[in-house]
Amino acid sequence: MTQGFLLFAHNNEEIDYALLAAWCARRIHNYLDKPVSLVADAATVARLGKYQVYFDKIIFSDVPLHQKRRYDTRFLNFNNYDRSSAWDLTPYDETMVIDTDIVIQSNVMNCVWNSNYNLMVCARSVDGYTNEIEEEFRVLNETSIKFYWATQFYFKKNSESEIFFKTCKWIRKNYIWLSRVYDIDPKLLRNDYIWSIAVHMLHCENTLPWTLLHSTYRSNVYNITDHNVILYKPGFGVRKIVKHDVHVMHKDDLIKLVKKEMELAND
Amino acid sequence: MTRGYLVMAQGDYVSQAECLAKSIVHSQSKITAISVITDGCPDEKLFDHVIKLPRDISGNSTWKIHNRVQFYELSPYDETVILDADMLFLTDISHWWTHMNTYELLLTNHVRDFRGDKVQQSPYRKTFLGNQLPNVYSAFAYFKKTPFVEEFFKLTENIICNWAEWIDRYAARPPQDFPSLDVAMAIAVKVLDCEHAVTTNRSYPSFTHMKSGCQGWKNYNEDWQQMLPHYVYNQQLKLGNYIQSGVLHYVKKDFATADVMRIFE
Repeated sequence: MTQGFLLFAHNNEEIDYALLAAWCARRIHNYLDKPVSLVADAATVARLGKYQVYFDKIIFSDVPLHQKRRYDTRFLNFNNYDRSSAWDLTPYDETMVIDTDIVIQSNVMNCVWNSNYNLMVCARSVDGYTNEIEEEFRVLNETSIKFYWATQFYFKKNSESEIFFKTCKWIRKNYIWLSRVYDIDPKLLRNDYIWSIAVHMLHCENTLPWTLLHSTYRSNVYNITDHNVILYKPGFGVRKIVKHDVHVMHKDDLIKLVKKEMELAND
Repeated sequence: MTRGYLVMAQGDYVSQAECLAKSIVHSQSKITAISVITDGCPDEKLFDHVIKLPRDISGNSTWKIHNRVQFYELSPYDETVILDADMLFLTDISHWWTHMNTYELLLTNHVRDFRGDKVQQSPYRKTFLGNQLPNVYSAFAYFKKTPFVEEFFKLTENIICNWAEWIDRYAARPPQDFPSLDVAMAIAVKVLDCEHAVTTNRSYPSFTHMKSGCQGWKNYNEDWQQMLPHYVYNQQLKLGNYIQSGVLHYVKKDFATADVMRIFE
């Protein structure tokens, strides 16, 4: 049984996902010691340069669909809709897919391998400051279904998990109609929403056995070292997160720190 | 040993008790007997026994909660599950009886929201929280006829009939000025120090409690039907995006319409 991580990267006007993917892969090697494959478009792969060394395989995927979304004060294109094709693209029998903006500082993700479950999704991610789940990450809206993250998930490549990913693709195609069924904004096509609807429809509610921490765009990332992340949020102050994986949404801060870390890397 | 469900229905609640009886007969594979205690004239064909309420101890109260303490003495069964009238049985829960049978008295100690999640915080349970009362619900409760259960119901009646004195002593933070069987039973459990003997850690008994404040909504209308649509399809009931199962405590009198009752045809 082959086991490995699968990352997705599609650069846009500003965000260098190639760099983030390389940095994430390097951390996977250091903390989890597993092979990493990358799914990316040709332009993003070209940006990788010497960092290709961190990847076991590079799988080309041109994304036909992208969406302009508000990011901080500007609008950027985000091309992350091939995540529903993870089952088709993965070279592994057991795959862990994670976002490239997760700061890995533990080996907790290694507990998924050889699981009895064919698919495990992320149900629980708490705010790094409050340790609580914000309302927007608990349910799609007050009267709708529960929220699940597409940020990280595990699957075995078999016919049962295939149904989940086929359902995700079907949801993407029928999103306008489903947005009415689930009472969500049809203009905002989010992988998390696609995942939430698929989990609800298929009752595949096996979840990853840990709590992810996250910091939103409203928090600045002050520093990242090998074993801690220092966040700053006006009104809340400084928070140091030690030896616990953190999903950092503030890409501007993250990329600055990632560049510094990768320049210092001596692999 | 006879087993059955028992519901009290006065005034408007008679038609709801009839809907409940239909749902039990339709959905349950083993225990389908249900009796009603009433001062009205329900459809006798739907019930195992129609028991005339022998004494109305509720005085001028519009909410006839006082009479519910008579469940023990009026039950025709050796093993009884008491229910609120505004409930529907949607799927078979016969296997619950096997577990309930190991208790003399078993009270529901958690309820679920329309998504099937345990209700963690309820704005209706401030008296329980403030006074460290056990979080019990009388809307679904099992008992056998034993001396202990008889004592329990006698004490509960005493609490209901002498409400102000008991509340002053056991539930003053914040005081609840109207009698409630849930609070009375919780005080009785505390006084008899029997919480471990009358509750369970299992996932059942439980029911879906449709009071709006139990749904985890931040801003809500007390009529949950204004917040959440319901659908009947293929003999299943959907509230919002969730197919319902088990026991539904729908709370709002106008919910069990002919359209909803199509599930049980």
